[in-house]
Amino acid sequence: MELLEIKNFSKSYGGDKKACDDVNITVSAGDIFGFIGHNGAGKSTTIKATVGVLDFEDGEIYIDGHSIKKEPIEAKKDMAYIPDNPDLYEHLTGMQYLNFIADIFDIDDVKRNGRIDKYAKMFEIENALGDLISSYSHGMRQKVAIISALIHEPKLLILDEPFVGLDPKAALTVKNIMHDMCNEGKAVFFSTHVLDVAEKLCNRVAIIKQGRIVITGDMEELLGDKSLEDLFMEVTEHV
Amino acid sequence: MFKKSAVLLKTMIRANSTFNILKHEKDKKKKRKMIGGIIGITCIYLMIIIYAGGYSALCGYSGMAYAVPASVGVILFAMNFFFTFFKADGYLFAFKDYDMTMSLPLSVKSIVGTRFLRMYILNLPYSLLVSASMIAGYAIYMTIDAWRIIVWIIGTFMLQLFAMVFASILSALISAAGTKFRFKQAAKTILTFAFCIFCFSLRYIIDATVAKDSVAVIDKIDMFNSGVNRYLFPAQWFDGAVSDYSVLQFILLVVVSIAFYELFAYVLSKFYRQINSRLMAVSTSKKKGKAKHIGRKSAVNAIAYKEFRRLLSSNNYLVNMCLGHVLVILMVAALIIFGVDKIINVAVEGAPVTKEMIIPIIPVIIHFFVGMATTTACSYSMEGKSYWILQSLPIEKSTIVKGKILFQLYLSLPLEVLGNIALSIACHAKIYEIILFAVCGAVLSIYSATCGMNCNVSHPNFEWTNEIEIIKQSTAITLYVLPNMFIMMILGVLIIFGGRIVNPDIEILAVTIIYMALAALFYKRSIKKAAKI
Repeated sequence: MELLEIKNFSKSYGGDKKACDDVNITVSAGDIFGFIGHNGAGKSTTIKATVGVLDFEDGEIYIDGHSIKKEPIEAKKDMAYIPDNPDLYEHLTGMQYLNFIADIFDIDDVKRNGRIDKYAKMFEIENALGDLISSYSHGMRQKVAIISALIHEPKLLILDEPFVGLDPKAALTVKNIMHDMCNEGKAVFFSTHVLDVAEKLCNRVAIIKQGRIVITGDMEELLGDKSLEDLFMEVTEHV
Repeated sequence: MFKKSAVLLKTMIRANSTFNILKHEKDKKKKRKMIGGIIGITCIYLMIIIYAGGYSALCGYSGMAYAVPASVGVILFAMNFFFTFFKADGYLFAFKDYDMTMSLPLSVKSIVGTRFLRMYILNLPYSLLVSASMIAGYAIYMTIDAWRIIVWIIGTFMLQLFAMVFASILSALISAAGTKFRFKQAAKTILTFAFCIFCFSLRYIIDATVAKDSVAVIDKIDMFNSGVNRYLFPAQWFDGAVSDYSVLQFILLVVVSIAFYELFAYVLSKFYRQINSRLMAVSTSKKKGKAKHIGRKSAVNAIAYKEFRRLLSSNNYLVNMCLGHVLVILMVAALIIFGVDKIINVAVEGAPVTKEMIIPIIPVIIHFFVGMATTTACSYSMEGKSYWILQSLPIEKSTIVKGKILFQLYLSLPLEVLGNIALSIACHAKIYEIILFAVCGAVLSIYSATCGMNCNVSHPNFEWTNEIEIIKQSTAITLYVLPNMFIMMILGVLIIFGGRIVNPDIEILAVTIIYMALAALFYKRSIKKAAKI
C-alpha cells in the first residue's frame, strides 16, 4: 500500500531554472525512506510541496491516496510534518502548543494526555512543558515539534533534517519511533545529510541532484558492497 | 564607523522596503498585490494632505493664519510622539536580529542610532506630508519667503527628531522599569497604558490652565496650541522662527533637537546591553514543574485561544490593539462614578452639548474607541515564519480565518455591546434605543473583525523580522485604521445633521443594516482570499 506518491512533480520559482524537475517517489507502508541531496538540490522544495506548504502546478502528490492539491485536508489528516528548523509559537508553553495541535486533529482528552505523557517522558521534557517555547533550546523545540507530529498517530511522518540539534539520546528515541512506526505498517519519509544514519536506518532511498532524482530504490539493492557515501559521491559526481 | 552604520541602516531599510521586494520579486501575483498596497497607501497619503491642508486653509479663512505654525509644531510633535511611543519598544529592544546586530563590529551607540534612524525614516513621509500640506494652506493667507520655507523644512525634520527622541526615552524608561518586575510583560503593559491615559488627560489639564469660558472651536484650537506651546519648547521655537523671523529660536530648535538626540543615543548605549539582556532573559525563579493538561477545544476555538496567548505575549500588540478597549472601560467606570452630565461637560469643555444630543451617536462613539484597531488586520501576517504550522494542518484556510475573527469578537463584541448599553442607560435613552444601539454595536464589532481580516488577507506579509512592522506599519493595518477612523468621524457628523431630516433611530438602523451587509461581504472575501494564501 502506497502512503506517499509523488508523480512527475516539478516546481520553479518564477525563473527559467526548475527547483524540482519531474520528481517521482513512492513510499509504501513499512518504509523508512531517506531523501538525500546537496544543499539546494530540491529536497526541502519537494517536502514542502508534499505537505501542502508550497504551491505547485506540475505533477501530483498523493498521501494515502488523497491528492494534496485536490483533497488537502484529507491528505494532511494522515500525515505529520516536522521542518528542519521548526518555528513554533514562541508565546505558547510546550503543553499549550501540543494541546493546540491535538485540538486541530480532534484528539480526545484521554488519548492526547496519554500520548503527551508518553512522548514527553521518552524525550525527557515532561518538566519543561509548562515553560514558554521561547525559553527552549533548539533541541527542545525539535522535541516538542516531534511530539506534536506524533500526537495524532499519523500514517506517514515527513521530516526535514530531523536529527539536527537533537542530543544522542533523543536521536536514538526518534530512530526507535521510526522503527516502531514501520512495524505498525506506517511509513517515514525524511531528508538528511547524515549518510551513515540514512544507511543504517532506511530500507529505501532517493538521491536528488539539481532538482532531478538521479537514483532511487531499495537500499540493499542499490548499495551492494558499497557504502551510501560511495554511492552518493558516485551518482552526484558523474550523473 | 559612520560608514559601517550607514551600511547597516541601508540594509535594514532595504530588507523591509516594498520597492526592493517589488524590484526582485518574480511572482507576478505577489507584485500585483504589492502595487495594490502602494495604491492604498497613496490614498491614505491623499487623505492626510486633504485633512492637513484643509485644516491650515480653514485657520487662514477664519483669520487665524498666524496660528498655523504653532499648530504645525503641536501636530508634528503629537503625531511623531505617539507613532514612536507605541513602536519604539519593538524597534529598539529585544528585536529578532538583536544577536546578529550586536555581534557585528559596531559600537553600541551606532546600533542604537541606526535602530532609531530607521524609525525616523519610516515616520518621515507622514511628517513631510503634513508639513507641506499645511504650508500650502498657510501660503494662501500669509507671505512666504525663502526664510520661512527653509525654517519650515528644517524645522519639520527637527520637530520630528525631538518628538521621537522624547517618546523613545519614555519607552526606554518603561522598558527598563518593566525589567525590574518578575512579570516583565505585564508590568510594561500596565505602565504603557497608565502613560497613555495620562497623555489623554493632559489635554484637559492644559485646557484648564488656558481656557475658562466657553469659546468658539477655532478659538479653542488657538488657545490649546498656545497652552501646549507654553510647555512644548520646540513647537514654540518653530512658531517663533517662522512667525517672528527669530534666528535665535531657529538655532535653539536645531541645536537642542540634535543635542537631545546625541544625549539620548549616548545614555541609552550605556545601558542598552543591560536592558536587552534583562528583557530577553528567562525567569529562573519561576517554579518549574509538570504542566497541567488542558481541556479539548474545537479547531476554531483552538485558533482563537492561540490568538489570545499571542496577544498576551506582546506588550506592543496588546497596547496597540486594546487601548480603545481600556478607554471604554474607563469611560463606563467614570459614568458610574461621576454621572453622564459631568463626563459630557469635561469632554466638550463646557460647550452646549446635552445628553440628548449624544444619544443618536452612541454606537459611533463607542466604536470609534473599540474599533480603532482590530487584531484581524494583522493576526494573519503575525503567523510569520510559523505559518507552516497552520499550512501543514488538516484544516481549511476558512477555519483559520474563522478562528482569528472569533478571537477578535471575544475581545471586542461584549465590550462594544456593554459600552453601548452603559452609555445609553446613562443618557436615559429609550428601551428600544438601548436594544438598537447594542445590536448596532455588535454589528460594528463584527464589521471591524471582518474588514480587518479582509485587509490582512489581501495584503499578507509573513516575511517580517520585527512584529511592530506588522502591528503598526503594515499595509493591512494602515488600510484598516485610517479610513475607518475618518469614516466614523464623518458618520457621526452625518447622523447629527441628518437627524434634522430623518429620525436618528432610523439612521442608526440604516447604519446597522449597511454595516451588516459590509461585514457579510468582507467575511466572504476574506474566506475566498485566504484560500489562495
